[in-house]
Amino acid sequence: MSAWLLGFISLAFLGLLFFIASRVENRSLFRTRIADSPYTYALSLGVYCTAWTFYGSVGRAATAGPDFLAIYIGPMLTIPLWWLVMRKIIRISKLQNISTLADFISSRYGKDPWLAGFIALSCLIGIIPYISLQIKAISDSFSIIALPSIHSVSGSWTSGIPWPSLLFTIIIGAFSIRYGTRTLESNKPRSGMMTAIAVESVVKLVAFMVVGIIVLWGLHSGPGSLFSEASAKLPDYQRLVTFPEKGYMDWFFLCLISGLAIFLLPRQFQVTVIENKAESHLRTAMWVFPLYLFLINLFVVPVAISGRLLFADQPVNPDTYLLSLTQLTGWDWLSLIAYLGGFSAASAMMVISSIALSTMLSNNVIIPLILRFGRYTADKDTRYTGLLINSRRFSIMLILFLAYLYFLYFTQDTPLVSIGITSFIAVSQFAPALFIGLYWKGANRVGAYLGIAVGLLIWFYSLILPVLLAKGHFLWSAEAWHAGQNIAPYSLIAIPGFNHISVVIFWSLLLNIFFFVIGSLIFKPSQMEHSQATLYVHAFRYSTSYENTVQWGGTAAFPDVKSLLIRFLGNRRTEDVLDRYARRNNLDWKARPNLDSRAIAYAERLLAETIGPASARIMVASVVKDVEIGIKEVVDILKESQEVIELNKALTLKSEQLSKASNELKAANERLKQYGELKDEFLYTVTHELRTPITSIRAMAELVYDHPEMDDLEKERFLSTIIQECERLTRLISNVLDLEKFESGNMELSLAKDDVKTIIEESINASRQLAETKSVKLHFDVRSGLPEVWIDRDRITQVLINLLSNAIKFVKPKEGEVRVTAYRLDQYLTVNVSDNGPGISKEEQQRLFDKFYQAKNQTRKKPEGSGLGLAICKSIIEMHQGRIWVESEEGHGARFVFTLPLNDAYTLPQPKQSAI
Amino acid sequence: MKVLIADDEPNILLSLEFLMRKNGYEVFIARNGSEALSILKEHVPDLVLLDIMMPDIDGYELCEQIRSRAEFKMTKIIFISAKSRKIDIEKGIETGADLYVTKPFSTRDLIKKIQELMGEQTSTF
Repeated sequence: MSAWLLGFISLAFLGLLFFIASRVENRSLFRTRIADSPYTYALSLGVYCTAWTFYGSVGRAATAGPDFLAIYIGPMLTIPLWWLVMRKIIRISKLQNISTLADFISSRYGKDPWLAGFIALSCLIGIIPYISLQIKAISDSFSIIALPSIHSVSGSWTSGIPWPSLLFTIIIGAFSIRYGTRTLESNKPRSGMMTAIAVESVVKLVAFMVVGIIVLWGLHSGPGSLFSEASAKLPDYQRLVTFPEKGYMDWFFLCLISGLAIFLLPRQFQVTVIENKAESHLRTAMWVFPLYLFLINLFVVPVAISGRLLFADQPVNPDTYLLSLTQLTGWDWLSLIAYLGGFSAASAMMVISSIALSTMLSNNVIIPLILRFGRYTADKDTRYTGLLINSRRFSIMLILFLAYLYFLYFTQDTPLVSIGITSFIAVSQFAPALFIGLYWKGANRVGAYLGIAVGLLIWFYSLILPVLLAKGHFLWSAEAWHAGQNIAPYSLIAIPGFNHISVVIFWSLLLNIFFFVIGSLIFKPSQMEHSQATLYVHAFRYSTSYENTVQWGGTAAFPDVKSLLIRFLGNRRTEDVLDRYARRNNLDWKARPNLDSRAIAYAERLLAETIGPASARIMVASVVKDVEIGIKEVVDILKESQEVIELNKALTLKSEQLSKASNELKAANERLKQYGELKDEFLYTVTHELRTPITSIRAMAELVYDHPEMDDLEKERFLSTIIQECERLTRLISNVLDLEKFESGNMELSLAKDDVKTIIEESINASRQLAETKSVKLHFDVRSGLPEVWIDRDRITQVLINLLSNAIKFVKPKEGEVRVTAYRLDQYLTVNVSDNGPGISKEEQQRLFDKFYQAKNQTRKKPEGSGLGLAICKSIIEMHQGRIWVESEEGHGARFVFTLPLNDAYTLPQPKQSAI
Repeated sequence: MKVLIADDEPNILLSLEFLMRKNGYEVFIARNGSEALSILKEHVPDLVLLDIMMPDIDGYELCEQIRSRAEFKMTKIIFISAKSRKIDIEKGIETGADLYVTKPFSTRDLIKKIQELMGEQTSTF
């Protein structure tokens, strides 16, 4: 493939990325569907897999065996902690308007601008070699594909200045500038860019897997034959495919620093924290990202072994096996796919790293320097909005340029893996300051300085110095790290049994932590530090009331703050945000010449979005006319606002509960009152009803006793009346007891399937005597084939006898007729008891079934009866799930109707049969 | 001496009738309010024994009617009722009754009270 064609395709690929990013930025639909998806977020984390993964892993696997895996196992092991730790970092970053790793750490230690600058520069030094590694990968892969002759002839694949890689670096820088510095706020997610990065993640994964599959089944006949061939031909086969028996500590340290790097690499911090749109996306990332790492490593060992077998006699750099193998197939398109995969891996890393580093460089180094030493104080009208953006753009180009220079002069002959490890160890020096600072309030600024400085010093002494001293010989290139051991600095700290890398990691982190803790214990934190420490450590607790956080004790003049904001945010945005604040807090700026502490805190957060928290703090301090308030006040305010919120919630809840309870009490009271009244009325009526028979009994007994002369006929009459009245009393008492049972729910029906027809017949027979004394005719009219129903025979008999005797009582003697009919209607058995008596008025019908319905304030007596009969009937029928009512017109008789459900129409209260 | 007894309970009527007859009264019996009124059209009793709760016209109303007519000026009225609340008794006295006796009553006490009320010493025998 010609260099021109490949160059053109590379540019077209970059053009595609531009196209995707601009589509996302301009189309709102596209943006919400794809850019805001948690999967886009999760895939963008794949920026972890750089050209180092794409080419370097194969190289490492071909020479040293499976220890490249430690780089992916480490991050996977940290995944369970993400919901706890990563989410906390994200929460804090969003609350404090953090836009870089340097912001994050320096904010924790009192928003110290020097610490922020120190971290920014450290990152720059640590990461630039890593970026240069990507340029090297692009350059190498370009040469292999476009200039195979040079490659195969000399074994060295670059000559002169690699112009294509310079061109690509510039275009990648342009992309970063175009889509990475669109807004002044450096902490706002960049949807277009992130979607493009996610696409690149997919491209590199697919490319690697396609190449892997074709190598396995195209160049060999599947994994089985590949591995058996390898075990026969390669003398070090066992070492390549099995984990070493010794050197667990080396594994441990590699896992450790890569586990730290997943949090601390500026590009990972950028994609995971700054570009996070919702904490919930983290959940998706927590399974997608490990899966991604697993898939992209699936074919590393087969490709490496295939390379070893097929290039056994040729001087091919193992880092290039992936590409070289595709060329063996003779398929240009396959080489192109592999090339674009590596190109994706490299360019994605370059874009994100350059943005992350440029924000650091600009916000934490360049801007503070300009503000401190520039004309800032002299000229109040200077606008910094242009400067801010331009300084970030300049930084991007500067960083990429430095990386390119490093590539030209240092990276050329170094294996890919060792450059990556060097960067990992550099950034892992921030781990104690960051992680311990998240959970230990005592950690302070001096400790952070000391720890990071000592750690980086050891890093530089043992990893960078040897490179500088012996350019071209570097760790981990097989022979070079023996050379490294012989360099004077290294021998001072060597530990037997540890390899060089492990020794460096061990000492740098150990001394880092040691000095960090010692520094924190000896020196006292400032008030500012103390309050930030509290906000970090208790991020989850205070996050809801954070809006109200106040860290300023004084006031500031409105015009001062406004002009400050305009300088960094521009006119329009300043007006916007001030308006919004005024509206939200219901205040009028014109009426308030001075801003209170809350408004000042708001302004500070706005500035922090643009220039970082440390610089924002300095700026705001310049216009506030008072001292900072101390940690106690801050925490008090936080607690207070939180307590007020909680108290409010509790009070609202309590008052709701109270009013609910009081309503319930009222209702209960009302019920009780009614119940009490009813009970009184009931008792009164019962005693009243009892009095009548007792009166007769007593009077007659006395008369019989006092008048012995009474004739026998009269005596007999009196005595039989007494007996009659005693029976009446007994009936009344048992009725009252029955009713009490119904009302208290103690009545139990003994249900059985029974034939209603026979019950009606029996009831009529029982009433016949009463009817005959009045010469009342009883009729029974039942259609044949009535279904059996579940009933309590005795109770239904009681109802029927009650209705019959009522009817007989009210009809006129001799001409009275009472008729009973029964039939089935729908799902009910209906029984009618009709008479040709005087009938019942509408008013009376309604109260007929109330117990003693006539009692209340009535002086007119209803016809004789206990006054409880119908009430009892109603209770019995309702317990059978039936209904009872009366139909009547005055003068035209009355019909009492009750219904009983057929057994399949309702569930029985106490079923005798259990369901199957 | 004439006595009118109005009550809807036949057994009570029976015993009161016997009692008053034994004490020398000429007894008129009413099973309800309207019967009592029709008797009062023809006779002027010296004493009326009135139940309050009756199916048509209640005792209070009867009492008021009797008191509103001059010919019954000398007639004594006694309520005999199962209504035993203070409010019922007060209402009975207000409507013009001379006595209020609650059921169940003792025939011995009742006759004693009647004799006191009528101001005559009538031996029970």
